[in-house]
Amino acid sequence: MLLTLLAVGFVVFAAFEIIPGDAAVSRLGSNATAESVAALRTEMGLDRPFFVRFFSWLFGCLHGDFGTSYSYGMPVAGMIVEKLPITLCMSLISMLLCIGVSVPVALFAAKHAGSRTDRGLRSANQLVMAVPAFFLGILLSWLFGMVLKWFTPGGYVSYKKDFGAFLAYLILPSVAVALPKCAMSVKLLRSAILAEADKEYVRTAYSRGLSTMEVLYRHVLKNAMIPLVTFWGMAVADMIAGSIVVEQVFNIPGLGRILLNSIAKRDYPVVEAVILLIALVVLLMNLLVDTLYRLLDPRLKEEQG
Amino acid sequence: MIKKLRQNPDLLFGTIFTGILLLIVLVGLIHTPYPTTQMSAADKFAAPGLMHIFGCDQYGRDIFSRVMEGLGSTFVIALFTVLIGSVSGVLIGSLCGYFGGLLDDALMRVNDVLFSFPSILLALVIVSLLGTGSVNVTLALGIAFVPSFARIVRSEVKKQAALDYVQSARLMGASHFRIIFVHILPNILPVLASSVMIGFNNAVLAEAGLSYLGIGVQPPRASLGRMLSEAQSFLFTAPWYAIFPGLTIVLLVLGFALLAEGMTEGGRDAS
Amino acid sequence: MLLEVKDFGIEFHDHDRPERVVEDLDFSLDTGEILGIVGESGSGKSLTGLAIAGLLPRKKLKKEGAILFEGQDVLRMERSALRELQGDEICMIFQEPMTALNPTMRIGRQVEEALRIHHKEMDAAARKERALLWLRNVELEDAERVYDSYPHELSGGMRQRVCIAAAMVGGPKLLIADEPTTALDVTVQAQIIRLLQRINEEEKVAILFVSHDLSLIRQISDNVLVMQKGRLVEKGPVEKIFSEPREEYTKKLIAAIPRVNLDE
Repeated sequence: MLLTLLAVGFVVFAAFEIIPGDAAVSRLGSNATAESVAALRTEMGLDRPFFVRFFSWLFGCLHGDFGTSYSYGMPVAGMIVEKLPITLCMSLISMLLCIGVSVPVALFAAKHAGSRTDRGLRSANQLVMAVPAFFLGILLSWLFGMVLKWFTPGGYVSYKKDFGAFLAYLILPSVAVALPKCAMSVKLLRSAILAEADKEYVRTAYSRGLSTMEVLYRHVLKNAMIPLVTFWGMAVADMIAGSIVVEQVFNIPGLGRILLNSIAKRDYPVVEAVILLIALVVLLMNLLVDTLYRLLDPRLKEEQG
Repeated sequence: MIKKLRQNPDLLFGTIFTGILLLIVLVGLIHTPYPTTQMSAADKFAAPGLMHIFGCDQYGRDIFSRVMEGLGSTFVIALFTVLIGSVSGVLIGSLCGYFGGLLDDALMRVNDVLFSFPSILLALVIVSLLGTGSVNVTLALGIAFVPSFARIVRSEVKKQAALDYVQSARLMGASHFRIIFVHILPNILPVLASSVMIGFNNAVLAEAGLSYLGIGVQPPRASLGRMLSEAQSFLFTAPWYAIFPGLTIVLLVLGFALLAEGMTEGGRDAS
Repeated sequence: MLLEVKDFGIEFHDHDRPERVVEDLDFSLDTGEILGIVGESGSGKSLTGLAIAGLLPRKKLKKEGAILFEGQDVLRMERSALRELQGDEICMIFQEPMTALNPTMRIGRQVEEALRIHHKEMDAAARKERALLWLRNVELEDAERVYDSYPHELSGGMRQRVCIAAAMVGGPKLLIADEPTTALDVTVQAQIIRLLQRINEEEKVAILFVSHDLSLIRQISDNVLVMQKGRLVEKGPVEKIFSEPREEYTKKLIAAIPRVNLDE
């Protein structure tokens, strides 16, 4: 895993290296003198060979030093650490919503498979899956902010000031991020439950006098969740991406704002750091999924061990 | 055919939605009710009506005409994205899956990380390297879509390569090239087709997201995502400005998803 | 009488035309008796077993006649009353011990499950003790280890023993065994048959033994039902059926038994 992270870091660093344009030139403007550019290059350390810079950057990263932002002149680490909780909170709420809503809905749909409610749910699901998260966000802020007036668009409160109000503000954006994924996982989980329900151990469970709900909860659900774990693991990464877009809809100053601003300003140390961070989250998620897999499915433990 | 459609509502509605939108795109290429950039102070925020069926925006431009244009660019960008993604994915995936070895290991390692990275973020990064604009966005999205195609194709090719018919083709002296492209690829077409359709939808959603963020098709050309981001400031005065472009995206994605679902269902019934 | 089946019939309604799969079935089963049902696949024998265990789906299927378990009609019972019987009075074991156990649940929990439902007064320790008792009683070595295992860690024969333990743990009066040895090797088959016979004697549990294998039926049963295409062909004490079969079909079945098995 560390090796993969190293590879990602290298690719990211190299990618920003090969693009045309000199950070020193872009910072000073195109009519800067050659001497001042050279001076700045020395100051920024850009005159050193590529690998030297890569390794010094890498060591910095390992110590939590991601360099200095070109445009703000501040340490990147500080900028990100401040914004990270916002995006992570939002993704976390979305994930909890997604799992918390999709499991009961999928159970309900599977229990009533083939009925009119099931078909209605399926159509609703198809529709929700087709809605981009940011459009959902716009619709939600219009509905709750302007029609119902339960919510103040743009009324973001910093988590440092009032954590409760901060969380309250995050609810709608999180719903916007979660719903499409939720619809997807209802669809997958429903079919996984139905596939499990056809297996023989279910009949055995019924022969012991369990009710349908008991059979579903005690036996089927755990087995049906196994394939869903992969999906949820990948959904976390998608939700971070979704949060970055939806943050713009709700005017939340999170990681998304930093990333977009620094892309626009070609502030590469910041972009690199954000990407590396997201890669880290993605890899951690992969690790978590593997662990969960082994916890859920005893058959895998055998094969690995 | 009609009977088949009636038994398969997914296919029916999918065909209808996609058909209507495709028609709008095609008509939009030659004719829009109003020039897409024609501003008119008098029509500023005109509500939907007979003159402007989707209403007008803050410059008095006809939203329906701009939706036509925006839908066209979304369509084209998504199409080329999937094209770039699937062609390179098929090449990389089939070579890796067929030959295996060290290169396969190394490539797939990188591929797996890229694959679990959200494609819209990947595209965002590539755009930041290449610069904005519709060509760059298409390229960026296309590259971002390669990993998923490569992964699917590789595992399918690996499965097929182990089958007897490949061995017997080998014995008959067929070249590796011939085996991959003449023998194996046709057999993975169904899998590829369905992932292309899913990929198209993801591309539409990603393109809309990027143009919402202001990266992608540049003004004055219309794009659905950018219309939405502009409309957001006027949600109170002109909700239709946001709703129609948004619904268009929903309809496009929904139609295609239903079409894909209906086709796999139809395929299942046939076999 | 423990079990009486009267004019029993099943009709499938899941296609365009209704299809009769069991018709006019009449038989009864006494406490402690072993009744064999023999027939080819499609004879309706397994469906009959499932119907008695109350495991037939409620939809797409019409059931006629009556299945009286201690005088109560299993076919017309409330679902909740039926569940009271299932796992406690009537139990079932199936053909495929590989798939009949939940792959992600430890053996112990699965064996205890019937107790958890029907004997709520038992605490965890008592349940475990009971489960271990039964795991030993089905001749599993190292019952403690099996108790903590997952199904994939056991062989097919061990799993079928686990299934028997899980069925017997509630002390049922009727055990329905649907081709319980078909998926096993011949040696394991013989052990399971002897185990079922021993349990039958010790626990006085009646066994409905469903099989396509006449030689097995002959080894284990007191009485035999011969079924063909959903109908009862012949019934009677096992030796009588074998020594003087009345119907042509029965004669053909007996003639088809491989010699080696008869000599055993």
